Amino acid sequence: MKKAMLMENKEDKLPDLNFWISQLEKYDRNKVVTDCLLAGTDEQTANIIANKIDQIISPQMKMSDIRPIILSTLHKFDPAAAIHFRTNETYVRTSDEKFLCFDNTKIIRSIVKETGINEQIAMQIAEDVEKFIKRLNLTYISSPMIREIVCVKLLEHGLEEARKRYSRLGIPLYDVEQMINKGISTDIKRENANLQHTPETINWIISGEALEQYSLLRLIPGHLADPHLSGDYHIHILSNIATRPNCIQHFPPLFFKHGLKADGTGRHTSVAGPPKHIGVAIQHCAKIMLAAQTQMAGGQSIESFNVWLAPFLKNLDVKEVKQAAQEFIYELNQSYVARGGQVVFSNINFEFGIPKWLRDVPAIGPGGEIKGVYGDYEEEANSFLREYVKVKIKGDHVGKQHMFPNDAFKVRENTFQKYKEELDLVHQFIAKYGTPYIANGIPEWQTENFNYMGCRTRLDSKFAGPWGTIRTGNDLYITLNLPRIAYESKGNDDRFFEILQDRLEKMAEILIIKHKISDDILHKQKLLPFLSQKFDGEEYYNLMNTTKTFGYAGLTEATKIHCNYHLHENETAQKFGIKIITKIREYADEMTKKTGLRFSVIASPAETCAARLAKIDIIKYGDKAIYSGTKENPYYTNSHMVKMDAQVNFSDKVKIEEKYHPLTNGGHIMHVWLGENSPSPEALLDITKKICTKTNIGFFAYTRDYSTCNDCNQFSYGLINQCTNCGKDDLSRYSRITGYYQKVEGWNPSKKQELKDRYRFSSSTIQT
Amino acid sequence: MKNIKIGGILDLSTVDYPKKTAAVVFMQGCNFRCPFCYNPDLINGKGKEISIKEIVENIKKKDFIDAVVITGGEPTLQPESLIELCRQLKENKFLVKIDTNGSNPLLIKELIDKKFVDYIALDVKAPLNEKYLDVIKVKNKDFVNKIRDVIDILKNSSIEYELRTPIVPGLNDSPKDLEQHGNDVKDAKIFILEQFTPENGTLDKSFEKIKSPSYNDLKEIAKYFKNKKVVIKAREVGEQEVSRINCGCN
Repeated sequence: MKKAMLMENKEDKLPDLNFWISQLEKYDRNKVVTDCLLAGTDEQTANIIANKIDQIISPQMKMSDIRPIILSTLHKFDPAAAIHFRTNETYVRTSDEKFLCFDNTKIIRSIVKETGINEQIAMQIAEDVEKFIKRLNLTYISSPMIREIVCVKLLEHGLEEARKRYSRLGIPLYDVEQMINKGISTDIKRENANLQHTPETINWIISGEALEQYSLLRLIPGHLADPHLSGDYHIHILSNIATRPNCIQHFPPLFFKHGLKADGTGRHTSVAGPPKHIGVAIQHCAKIMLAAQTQMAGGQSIESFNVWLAPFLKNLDVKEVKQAAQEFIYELNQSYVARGGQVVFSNINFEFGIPKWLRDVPAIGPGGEIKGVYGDYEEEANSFLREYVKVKIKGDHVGKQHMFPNDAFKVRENTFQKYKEELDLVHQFIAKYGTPYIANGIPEWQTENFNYMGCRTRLDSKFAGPWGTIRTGNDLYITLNLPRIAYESKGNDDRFFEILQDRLEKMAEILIIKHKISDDILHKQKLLPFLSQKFDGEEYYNLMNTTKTFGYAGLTEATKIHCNYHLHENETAQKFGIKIITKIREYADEMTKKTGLRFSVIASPAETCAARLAKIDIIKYGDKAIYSGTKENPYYTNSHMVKMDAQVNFSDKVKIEEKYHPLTNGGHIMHVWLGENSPSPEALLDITKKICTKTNIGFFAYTRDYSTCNDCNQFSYGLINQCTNCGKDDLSRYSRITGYYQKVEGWNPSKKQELKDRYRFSSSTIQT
Repeated sequence: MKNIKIGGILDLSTVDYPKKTAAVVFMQGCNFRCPFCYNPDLINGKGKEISIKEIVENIKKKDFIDAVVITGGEPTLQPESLIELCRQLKENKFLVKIDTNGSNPLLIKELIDKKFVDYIALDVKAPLNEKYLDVIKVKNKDFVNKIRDVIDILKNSSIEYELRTPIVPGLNDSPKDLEQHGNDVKDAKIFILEQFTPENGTLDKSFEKIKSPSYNDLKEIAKYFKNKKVVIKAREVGEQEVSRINCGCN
């Protein structure tokens, strides 16, 4: 009956447009049977259908109203016959499995509503569409199909903008099947290797694909989207532009003081009060990251973690401190619930002792009350660091490393003199698993406070003081294809910088558009309630302090094209490299002055775009193309790094890369690829000390590869093919991809190639 | 101006000199023919010849190292060059370690006496009897005596040193050999068991098919060695000192 009601409604509204209604026919049960038999179904089925229909319709109804009901009933009982159901009408099979008469006024209304073109043109289009469909001689057609046909007709009328707006977003059936059957490990579009093959992953990818199409069709105007598509630059995490900012450095004391609403409002989840005990405080910290991850595209980080926790540790036994650290680590490695069935991309910044800028700050302790100042808790902060590191050194139950959080240890002026025990532990941790990062605050260019995430994004005190390094993060970054500029400028320096300027201006436009979107979703659409919740009248996520960041890839390939040498091959190449990045930084600073927004420069991680941009350039420049890796699996070298397979002395590598760290205020990392099975913690600490005190390197990490047997869990250093314990060849191999550790099997092919190419120090390779 | 034949210089190592960052100089040529040798390119003596000055200058440019390890091949096959290299490295305040097969005790003594070396690693690859010649594939009994001499020299000096062996299944891991092997090296403070890993090629290609001993195998083998400190180097654990309690000694 509901169906019949719908039809009546339609007639009420549009009595003059009912030309599709055929001649008046009285209802007759036999006509129903005949229609069904003509479609090819058997007598028995025809009678069942007729009986069903007889029960539900009112005798006043016309046959033309009843036919859609016959069709939908027939479709249920004999789908094959439904296709041959003969009538003068074309029916539309709607998404809710109903059949309605084709009605071109619906098309007119939806075109006008969705695209904003005038009714006159819309009517013309609808007529074209109707003619087209009639020619197809179908019994019924689906509404998505009509939408496709409308799009074609809009194109024929030259209405490209309207066509875009009328588009349906989604992905081909074939792709969905591939994803379910084979997993997504070979998908070049994937931006992170953190994804396992699970239903959640498939949801994440499908929704991401639709939102990415939406971003390119609606949010980024054509003159800015085209350069992305053609590879002048790469806009990261396009799938998130519409709905999420990138990352954040959290500030747990606010939640210690006011309690925790995981949904941001307290209306959908239980509300927790201020924690009285370390066990709850540490759970709060994990949950802050879990909650915020649902509203952010990228990393979740807690800055000065051990400092904020220290007031909860007063007079606690070492065992209790260790227990808290352990809870936190397991919580973050086992809460397999973030975007697409991942764990949270979590990061922790540790301080050795209490840094100067926090020493006199009132400390929020148990019950959310002020308990002295943070300077009172030096020993507690260090104790937490030590116990946390010990848990990390132990590994998980089967001896594998805890992949998260990414831990960055912040070295400051007095660290090497004062914190021997803590440094020893950190380097035992490095020697065992290679995971931690060292954030070096000693060089002159670092600021009072600074922090990093595992993916290298950085914040410092320059823009808004030390407190401007927390409750904020990166809004969006875009990676510039530097080799492309080198090809286009054909060796001419002036031309190079002209093109660079043009690209940067476009990228800045996109970053500003994104700022506006983030502002809207936070404040107008209220899409991010966790981030926009207020404490003492102030919003938690400080959007005005977020970085808008210019990234770059392939500096060494760019100098090879432009100067004929890679960065490590010649001084001129290196000088030109520095000049390029200096220009980018100058432009970022200029934009900050102009707009008041925090523009910055990052040495992009380029997990996916390093390959994507290289592949496009190979197609574009053919044999002239300069790239790393192989033709099948090419990539541009990340940011300003020396070519992965260049056999460069470690001290020379440092001398090249350190020049870029002071320039890249939005983040950078130097990799130390270890090749040895048993690096000595003492010797590693020695290297750390030398890097920190003698160079301008701001952030670095050691990487040692390892494998674990999927059968017997045997752990082994190196990327091996056969288990040394049980002899099986089913192994999981791990290494650092761009910033973080992940299973090599999940890497995209070009990153796997890079892994092969990496020149590891102290490996058995002999350098002559 | 002295020249030296090298196979190459490794830039930065944290494993070759105990607890120190080191550069490693690979000297060319060897008088042994161990079939499991994993640096077969360094045996024939056909390396690049460069001046000692050049090597020292090269090493001085490496900002991250405190020590230099001279290995091979066999460094003592170029005696005068080795002495000069060590002298110059000491002059430049580097810690110097020499890896040797023990075939030139006089030279080792001279280097120690002149204080040109800070640490010595001596390979003792099998029991010091006729078995040794099977392992090194050179029929010269003299070598065994010379290795014994080097052990004595090290024992009677104040220099830091370690004895070490790779464990190659089927070659030097029979209980009988291990019994004697343990006895021959018992006076050294530190003994190192290394995991044979053929992945990167061996001198005798047939050894590439031999399976690496596992860490657990090495732990069993470690029981034959009663030194004060026994260390296993294996990819399952990195570097692991063997706990004395499990060894059933003391």
